Amino acid sequence: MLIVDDQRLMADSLCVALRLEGFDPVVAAVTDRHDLVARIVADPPALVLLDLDLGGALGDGADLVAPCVAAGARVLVLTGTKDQLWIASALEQGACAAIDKAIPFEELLPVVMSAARGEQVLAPRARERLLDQLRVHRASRRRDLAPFESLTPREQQVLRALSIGLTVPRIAELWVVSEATVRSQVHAVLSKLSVRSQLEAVAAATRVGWL
Amino acid sequence: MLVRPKVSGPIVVVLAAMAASAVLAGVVGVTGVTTTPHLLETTAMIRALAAPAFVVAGVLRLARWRITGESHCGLRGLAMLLMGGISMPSATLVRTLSEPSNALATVTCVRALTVGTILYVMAVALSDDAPDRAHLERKIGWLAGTTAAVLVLLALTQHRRLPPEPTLQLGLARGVVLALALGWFTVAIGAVVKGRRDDWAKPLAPLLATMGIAELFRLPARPETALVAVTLTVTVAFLAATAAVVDLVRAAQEENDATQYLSRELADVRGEVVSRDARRDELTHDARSTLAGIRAAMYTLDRHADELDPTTSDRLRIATLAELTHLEHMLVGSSLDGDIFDVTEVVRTVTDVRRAAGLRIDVALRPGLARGVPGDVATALQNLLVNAHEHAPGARVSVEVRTAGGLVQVTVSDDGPGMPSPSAGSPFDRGVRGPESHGSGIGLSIARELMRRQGGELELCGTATGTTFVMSLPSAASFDGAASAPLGVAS
Repeated sequence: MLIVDDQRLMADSLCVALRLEGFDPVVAAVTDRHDLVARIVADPPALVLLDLDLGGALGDGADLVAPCVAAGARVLVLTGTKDQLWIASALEQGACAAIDKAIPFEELLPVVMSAARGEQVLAPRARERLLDQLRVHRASRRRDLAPFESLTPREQQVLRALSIGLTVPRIAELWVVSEATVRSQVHAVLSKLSVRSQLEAVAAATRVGWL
Repeated sequence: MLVRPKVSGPIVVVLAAMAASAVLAGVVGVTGVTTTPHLLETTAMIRALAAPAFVVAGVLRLARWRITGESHCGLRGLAMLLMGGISMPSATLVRTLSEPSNALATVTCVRALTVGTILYVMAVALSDDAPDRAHLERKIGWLAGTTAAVLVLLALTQHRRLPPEPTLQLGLARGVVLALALGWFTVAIGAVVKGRRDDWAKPLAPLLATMGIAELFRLPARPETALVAVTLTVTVAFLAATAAVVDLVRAAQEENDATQYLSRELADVRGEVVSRDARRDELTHDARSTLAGIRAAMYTLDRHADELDPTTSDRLRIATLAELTHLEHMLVGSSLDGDIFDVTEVVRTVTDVRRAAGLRIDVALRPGLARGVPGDVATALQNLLVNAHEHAPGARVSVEVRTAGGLVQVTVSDDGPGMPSPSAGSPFDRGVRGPESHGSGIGLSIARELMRRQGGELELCGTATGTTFVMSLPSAASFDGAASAPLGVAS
């Protein structure tokens, strides 16, 4: 069993507690992503206890799920995040379950142990619900972003330039094109986004997080 | 003066040329180069030019008023619309339709009515900064009353066909013209006064004065002077229209600039909110993870107290302590600057606790105000005392606080066996510990890190007779100077 958690105290405590329960866990060094993956591939543990928020060196733990699963390890996500979408994306990559770190340790430990024994710890229905959430979120995000995707690269540039407060004449001057050209691009942006003013376009872009 | 040159250079040139030719036409008229019927025709033609120019100027002023919402703009627009759309056409109409015998009196009455109204509107525009509604309504009431009175007068003149005598008509006309000229000059003076406070009124004064002069040229009631009057009027009309164009363009530009500014602000604020949210989420997440770790460690320590070997439990305990400090940092949001606090207070609290735990400690405390994080100093000192207790059980430990060279120093020394040279590296390195030590070696490295994080230092001084650690922090006084000397150099 391999514990991947940048929070050293958690990792150490888990390691000590699991060892006393008769398991043989190892705390992974969370310094280099490449080394970690290489290590898992070389000697796949039965279970990887994976934190999602791994800090600077490793970043997003959800990205480690797929390599672990590919190497033949089961992955149990052990995270402090409340972000259900993040958890869902880890499950989508093949993690067998996710546990909230914040639950009492005496409840957390049995779940980890049963996962280590290869038991199912997440009901299929709960799993489906999480994955559904992820799908719904993605669909709505796609819907929000669709008008922005329909902009041509030049129109996208125009919108970005407007958002940093450049005027049409200034944009024309910077890009060495005529004002009329920029104006027609601005009009295209407005009509594609179904808004009436430049301000509204910028507001829409910031609202959906396109900018 | 009339229009700001930066926007309107070419326009000014065109205007100057136009005014010059108009004045020339007027002069030609006065000097009688042309015959009287011809003069009347020219006058009518020029007058026909003035009305549309005033209408255009009025519409543009109203357009600017729609953009900027400045009440004076709206009122000026109204005045010019009245001039071009009502006053001049109705005067022309009456002049054409009236019987020649009393045409002069009728036209005079119409002009008195309409130009009077215009003067009144201009006076309102100039007199109020931001006219409140009730005030404006009262004024408009007065205006309506006066207008009605003049209308009655006009009706009476028409009905009785008075005054039929040309001399009486001329007298009436001259009286009205003088009154109107006076009105124009009064409003022009109003514009000068207003112009001292508000830029917009400055260009108005010469235009209004010109209108007054044009009025005076009507006084002789001769075709030549009438031509000059009309020429002046049309010049004013074109100048007003040009100024209105320039102002409108400027207003549109400012509006556009404001939009751009708002766009940028919007993006900035949005970015700020997003990054603040992200920071808050990160903090929450960090705190939750830290708490989970502490909980896990406490549970393990508590549940398996008997089965754990001392090294492991020690390590977990010290790590828990460090995590608690970390948590405090997160919650208090302590910066590297820290606060000014009395080091002796902290030292007293910590030594009291350790003494209660069975350590023999002597303290020699002199007041020492330092800048740092009290909680961190306490943790570091505690680690030092635990370390002393471990490597020299039963030894006497002395703790001394003193201020020297811009530093507050806490010296912790014991009379134990001293710190034997460790197998490798400094005693502050993680995992390095003395041969007799049961500790994990983490305590000292954490202590040093805690001190360094707040701009202080932890050093091991002399190992001959016992062990002496010196914790130092920049003293509060060292921050009073313009720049604090770097640590270590000051002492």
